[in-house]
Amino acid sequence: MTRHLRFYGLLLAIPVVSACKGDPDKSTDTDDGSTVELPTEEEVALIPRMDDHRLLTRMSLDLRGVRPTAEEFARIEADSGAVDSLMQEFLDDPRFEDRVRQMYTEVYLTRADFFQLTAMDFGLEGEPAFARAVGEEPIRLVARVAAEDRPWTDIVTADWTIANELTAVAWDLDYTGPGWDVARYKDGRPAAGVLATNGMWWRYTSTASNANRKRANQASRILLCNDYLVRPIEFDRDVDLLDEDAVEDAINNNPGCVNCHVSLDPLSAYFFGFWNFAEDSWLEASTYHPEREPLWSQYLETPPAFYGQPGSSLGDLGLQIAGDPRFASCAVEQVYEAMLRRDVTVADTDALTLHREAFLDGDLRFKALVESVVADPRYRAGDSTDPLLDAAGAVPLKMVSTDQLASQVADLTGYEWTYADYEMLANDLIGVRTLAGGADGVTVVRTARTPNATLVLVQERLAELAAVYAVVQAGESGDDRLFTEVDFSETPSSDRDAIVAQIQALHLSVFGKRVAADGPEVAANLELFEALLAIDDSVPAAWAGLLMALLRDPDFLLY
Amino acid sequence: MRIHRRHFLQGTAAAGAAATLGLPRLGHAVSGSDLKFLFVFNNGGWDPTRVFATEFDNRNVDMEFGAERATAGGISYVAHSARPSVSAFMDAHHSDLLVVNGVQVRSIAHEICTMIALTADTSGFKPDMATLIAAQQGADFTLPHLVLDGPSFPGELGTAVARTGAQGQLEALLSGDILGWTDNAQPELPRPYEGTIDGYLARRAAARAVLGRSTGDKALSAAYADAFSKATGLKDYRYVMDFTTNGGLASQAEVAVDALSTGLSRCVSMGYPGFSGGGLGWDSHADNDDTQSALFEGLFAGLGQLMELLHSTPGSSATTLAEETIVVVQSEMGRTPQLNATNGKDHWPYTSVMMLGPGLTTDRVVGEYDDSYIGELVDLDTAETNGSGRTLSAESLGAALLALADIDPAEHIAGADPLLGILS
Repeated sequence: MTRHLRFYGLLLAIPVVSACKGDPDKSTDTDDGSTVELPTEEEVALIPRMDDHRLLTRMSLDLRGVRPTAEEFARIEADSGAVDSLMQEFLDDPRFEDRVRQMYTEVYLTRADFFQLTAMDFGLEGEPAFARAVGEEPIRLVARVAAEDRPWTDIVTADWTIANELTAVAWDLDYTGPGWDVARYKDGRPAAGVLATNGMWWRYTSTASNANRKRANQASRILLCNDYLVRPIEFDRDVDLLDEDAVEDAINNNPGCVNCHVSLDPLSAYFFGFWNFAEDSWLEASTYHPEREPLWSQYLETPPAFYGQPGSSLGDLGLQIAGDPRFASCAVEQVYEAMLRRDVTVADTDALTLHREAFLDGDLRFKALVESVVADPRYRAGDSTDPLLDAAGAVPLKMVSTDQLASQVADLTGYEWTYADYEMLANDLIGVRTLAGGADGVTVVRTARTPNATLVLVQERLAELAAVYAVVQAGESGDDRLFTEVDFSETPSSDRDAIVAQIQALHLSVFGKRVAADGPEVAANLELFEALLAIDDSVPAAWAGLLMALLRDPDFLLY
Repeated sequence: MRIHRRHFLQGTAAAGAAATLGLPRLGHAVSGSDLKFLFVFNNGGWDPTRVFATEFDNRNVDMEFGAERATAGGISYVAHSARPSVSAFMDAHHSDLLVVNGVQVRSIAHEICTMIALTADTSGFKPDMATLIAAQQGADFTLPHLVLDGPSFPGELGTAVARTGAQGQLEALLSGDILGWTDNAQPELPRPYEGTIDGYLARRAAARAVLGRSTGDKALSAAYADAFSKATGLKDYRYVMDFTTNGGLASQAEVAVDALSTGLSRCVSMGYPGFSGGGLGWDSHADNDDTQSALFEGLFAGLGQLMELLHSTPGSSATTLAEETIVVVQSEMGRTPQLNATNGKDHWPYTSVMMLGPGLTTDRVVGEYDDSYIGELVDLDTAETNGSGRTLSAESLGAALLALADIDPAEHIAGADPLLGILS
């Protein structure tokens, strides 16, 4: 097999597209070949804004994963300026950290269903929780940096990580707990944030012939938005890949190969502290090996360096990445895409520049960046026929992610869908994550941005479970988060006003919308309630049915 | 349950639909856009020398003891007494069969090879061929690309892909059984509620779809209305077909044929011996011959059943489903020409692919391995071996599949010319 040593490495000389996307001129080509003028940021500022209720709902779902409360709606109704002060509160909400973690799940793609090693290998119980803890390690570190508003560079320079009871025991970490808490490795690994986490490199492993190139590319993709694997380089398919000398020659001299390997290979050389000689060994895989850092000389012909800057350890690499202008630009692009739920295009160049400036002015604090994006007229655009919306790439309507669907249902109803300790919307082993439009991080790498039939089915079943749970809780435990106006004894004939008031309350909680007692929404829901009551003659069941219908509504999915 | 439902389906739904719609009942050339596709992925890397590569005269290749060269029509293959299903399949289906040898996958890593074999790309962010083809007419199908097993890379076209799930998740969603999959069991609502609420939501979805004023709002609302309508229709499918399989190829074949014949899906992906759970069944680093032989025997037995089903099921634009369906059987890599110290074979970047169906130059083997067991160059326009030709790559094969489906390969696969010589 020695003939193939260089093989996998050469693959990285294949293809590509730069993340962003063109020169900042003021026009762009369309699919039909015509050229359209791009609006200036001054023009973009004129895009009609969505109403306060919708904007508050959007911000709350994006920053906290839940819908606003009745009290929060009351605040903006009393004072329109309260929208932005509420945004500040959302950024400081404990749930913001979870939302950042969810946003970065799609970037890091580390939340796989299983890894090479399991809880059992460490004598632990709870496989789903263990796999989850491993995959979430790097994104929880990122989320903690964001939530505590530390400098963004901490994600590649921190000397700490985030662990829970499972990973702390498995990896013998310095950890206090309980729950997700700051922890420290005790194996002498460099301070390099996510670059020094086991979760990252358990997900992205390396073979001998690959020599850490895969890891280097993932670091580059995630932290610099520079994915070597999507470069549009035409690969020379006539290189004899079985001839080690020919491969070596191609890497060094073939323009199609050199273009990537000249920078990728020195980057790969940084990762040999994570080199593993026994795939199945829990000790090998859990431990960083400082003494193996020089192994690059056996597998690569180039020492560690970052685009010409030499270094020796991951600590150096973290600092080099933190100092690269692409690091901040990449964060801007990732947040912009996550908040708008669409890809960045050339039309966004000016907007990205503005947000980058805000990020830099905020000393690379994540919240400053988010605040800037949330203030973007494209994010706040209302539903309008104004042609500026399309020209600027405004997003008047978008779809919740799988995580947001789960979290808003849990917040409204108290119901969290788990089975055998698996979160049903967060795995595919027994769950329905990809059927609901989620990404599995391995073959499904993007969450759905438009609905399909299977997502609608998942929404239906989740809605039924949650609605019944909410009614049962309200009846048995007096949980009044949703049912504030009825005690389930009222019927339309005995107390129509209470039924109507409850329907109005549900619309505010579930959709963030005040509806009139004599409006069409209430009339339609009253009709549905009566139809359900006629089927079973059970008031609680009819309420559960009505709530289920609201949780299945398109307005619960699109916001 | 399954057989009963499927037979019901074959006897009524598909045939009835064809009659009602006045579709042709006689075989004829099916246009690319009407073709259906079935992909069978063999995870772990098969050994082509056990069936496809007749390298008996190649001193560098360890052929299997007891194996012999056999011929069925224009197909030359490796026969062995331990694999009667292979010979039976070749005898029965050689006229529909195209074998492509010496296909380069450029890597020896499972993950990368799988991406290349399925997506013609190494990033994992591009859709696989099945998804691209399915999405081309996604609006016409409820589940454009149905994945029963095996890897699938939806890229940005995730809404076109649905997985049945290793535990039968899709079926459980449809039947409502999934309501019992919870750590916090709840009483179920009366079943008649479902129709009443569905009716209410259908009106809501329709109303939502016409409310939007902006392009974005209209498009997303319309997508929701379409998805809702399809989801409602999909629930009715549970009365005529079952989406769960036992993981076996024959079981998957039944669901696949149902999905294609009813117009539910345009593409179906299957896996052998089963990918769910991350297994690499064909990865015979030790005891190659026993492993590969048993797997090939099982594979061809299952494929035989699949072809029987395709031939006995009415098509929508041809007499039978077999006349309008392309079957692609592949593995992410091949195996080294020689046995290692544990009688296994390691990873090899050249492999073979088997295809059946209309629009292909069948009863033919194209591509060859040279003395070093490396794929020979071919003339892409004729698929004939040609020393001054081009590498027969997974990319050129993928491009040919797209061309077969009337999709411009250049829009999806950079720098790879299609292997047009395999198209009739």
